[in-house]
Amino acid sequence: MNVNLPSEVSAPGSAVGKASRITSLDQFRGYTVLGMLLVNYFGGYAVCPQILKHTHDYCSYADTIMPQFLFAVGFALRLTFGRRMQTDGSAAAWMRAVRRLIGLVLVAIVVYNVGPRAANWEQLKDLGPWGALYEPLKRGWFQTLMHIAVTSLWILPVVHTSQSIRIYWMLGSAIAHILLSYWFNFLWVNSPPNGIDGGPLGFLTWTVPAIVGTIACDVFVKTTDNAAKIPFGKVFVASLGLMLLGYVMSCGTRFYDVPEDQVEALRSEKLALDPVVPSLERIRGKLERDGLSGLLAEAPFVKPPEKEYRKWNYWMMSQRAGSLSYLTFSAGFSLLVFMVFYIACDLCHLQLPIFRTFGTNALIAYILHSMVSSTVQPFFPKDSPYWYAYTGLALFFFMNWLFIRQLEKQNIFLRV
Amino acid sequence: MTTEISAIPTLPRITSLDQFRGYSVAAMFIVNFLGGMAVTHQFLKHNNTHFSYADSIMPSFIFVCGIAYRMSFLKQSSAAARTNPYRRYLRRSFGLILLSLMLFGLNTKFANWSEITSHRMVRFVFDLIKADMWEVLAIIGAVQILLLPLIGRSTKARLLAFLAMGGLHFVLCCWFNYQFVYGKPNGLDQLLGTTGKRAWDGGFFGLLAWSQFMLAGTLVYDLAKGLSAGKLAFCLVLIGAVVMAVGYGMSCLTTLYDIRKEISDDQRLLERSPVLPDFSRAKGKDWKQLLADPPFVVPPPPSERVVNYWMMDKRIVTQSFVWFATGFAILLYALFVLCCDTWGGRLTLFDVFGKNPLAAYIINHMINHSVHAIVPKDSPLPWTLAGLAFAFVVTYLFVRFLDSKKLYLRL
Repeated sequence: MNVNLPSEVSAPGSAVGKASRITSLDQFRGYTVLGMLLVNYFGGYAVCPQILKHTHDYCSYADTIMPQFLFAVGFALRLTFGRRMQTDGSAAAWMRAVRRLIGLVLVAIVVYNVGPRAANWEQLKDLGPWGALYEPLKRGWFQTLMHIAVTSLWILPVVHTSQSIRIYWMLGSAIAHILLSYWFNFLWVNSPPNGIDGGPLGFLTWTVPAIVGTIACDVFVKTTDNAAKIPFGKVFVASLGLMLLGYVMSCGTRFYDVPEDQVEALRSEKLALDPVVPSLERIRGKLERDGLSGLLAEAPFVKPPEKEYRKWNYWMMSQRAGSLSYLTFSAGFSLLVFMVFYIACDLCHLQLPIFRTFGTNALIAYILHSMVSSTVQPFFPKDSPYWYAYTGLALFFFMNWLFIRQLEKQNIFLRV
Repeated sequence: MTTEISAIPTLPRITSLDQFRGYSVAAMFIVNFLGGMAVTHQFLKHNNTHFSYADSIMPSFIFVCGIAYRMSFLKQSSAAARTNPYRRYLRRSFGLILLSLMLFGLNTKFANWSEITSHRMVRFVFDLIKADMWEVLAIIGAVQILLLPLIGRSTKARLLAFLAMGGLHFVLCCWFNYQFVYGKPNGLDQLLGTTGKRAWDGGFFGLLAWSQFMLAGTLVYDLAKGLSAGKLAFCLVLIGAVVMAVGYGMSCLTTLYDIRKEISDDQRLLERSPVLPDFSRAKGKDWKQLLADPPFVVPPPPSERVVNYWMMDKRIVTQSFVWFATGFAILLYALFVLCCDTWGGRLTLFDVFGKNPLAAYIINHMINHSVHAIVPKDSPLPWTLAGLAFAFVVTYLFVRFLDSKKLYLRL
């Protein structure tokens, strides 16, 4: 087994703070945190541009944010786990990683407050343990932090192994996700209470950007001292290849276009009856109607037709379903964005202080932003006019920055 | 954001102070979790009619903040310090208020654009200032600002300020504040348009009374200088007992609000003046009849005794409450001085919470919310205790983790 672990720099996200940090990764993470603040706060406003909203039926700008977190997590996990294995030994590194990730699970349960499960004790008894925990387990607790924790635990066994093993692990996870989605998962996640970001089994496809992050770590970190050796061309092609692959997969969504004569009859249905493997009848009908050219899906970032004209299916780029097309495309997109940051920050030595501030304290920024949001948003209704809504957005950013900057000034960084 | 956060403690640590602060924080977690539960004994609830154990926690915490405030202010005022302590504390205190607002919310929501009118905005601001913003962190922040001109002054000046603050609060309660806090008709509410809105923990003017606890802490800090731990503990026991006795003495005026059944209109007459008692009612009473129920004991119900200012009432922050709770905090601190500074005892639990009270408070606040999701208010005792234990242990684990990383959020 070829184990080539990068070890000369400290991982962002590690507690080993004395080694030098990777500027590009901090900046990339900071950009991602700011993007998250923007889309999470502003997404619900009437004046918010469509591209900043999660609509679960295509890949918008908002949908590129979370995969970038997973990409950064994979990158950092490869780096820190490798260092820990070399310095503390395998068992200690494992124990530490598992302990930290279980801690993150606890943080997620605390941060994602699911509200009272029952109005009184009698109702709680009637619900029983499963009834009380079913919704939080399916939806409430399974948001970003939980996905990061579970995905990290899932890739932990292979994070220190060779690239080929990691790629096989990623492919296996992707296939497992398709099979489970075919069996029940797609309909389950898209049924009330709807899952969030892929639901409890979403980690299988969040593995894609995370593993791509580990590979990026191999490429960008082990040659830190000699940037000329970084195969930028290959990285560029790989990122485009992943995005293209994701797009090609997403073309399967065109089989779910509703024929004009059936639009009215199927208007109330949102989900396709055969959402993962289209029926032969569906395939034949589509090809007869539109031919092969009719199989080209809309480009990413372009909103597709509404559910009346195209039924929701596994092949559309959906963050809610955690579909493979979405995460393959966004893994490639994350790689491309990271490369741009690498060139700008580590080669051209450019950086923005605000990205550094948020990038070095991403966990606190994440926890804090929902508190700030719940303080600011009540005064800025969703139907506010432009000037008022943007004022609220500015205030929201400012308050977040104020707290995070103060932590940075005091050298306080919370990392798991 | 002005909350001071530092990776490395910069002041020498006093064990009894950390331990006492840790005890206050741990006790706060217990009463905060149990306070709303049906099975909880009144001893652990805020009843607003008498002094319970739950009522002793916040005064103790603010008292200990006072000790630390005076200590760090003097340190930062020294010639060696490079920062202006006034500006520093002003910044910190506003940060604490902002943090409190974020943690507890603003209790108002504008559902749509048409609801945003100048009238509603003004009402929101007045509601906020009157009542909604005054949670413990905001109170500490505001009290620190209020005491900023006094914190560096002499012991005598602060002692006088202690009395003056109490006197002023009492005068305001005579004038309008008693009704103001309880949301009963009064001139100020009429002026502000906040009629009917009740406050808690004293509301805006309660800051005067809360500042007394912090001032008491600063005075104890002065007393501690130059005294051995044993002597300090002895002095604190004496002072604590006297201050408690004064508080209890004040609370005895509550007996003047006992309803005389033989007079049909007596209750209405008493309710007219809940702050200034009619001393003539003491005539003919045996001295034993003028003794109030001891602290921690439930007084007669409103049908027998009209609710009045002289009860040890945390909602108003009455002077009987202030004095008794101050004495109680001093007495308790004496025990910690004895146990920690004289005998060298310490509990890791108190140490962990005591060094990181702000982080502990924020974490516990979030955890309690999550745990209460599956612990309804009418849960039976075993389930309630299981929920409490879980919330407490998880809080401890998180704060312990921060402690292991030397990450401290300081007030």
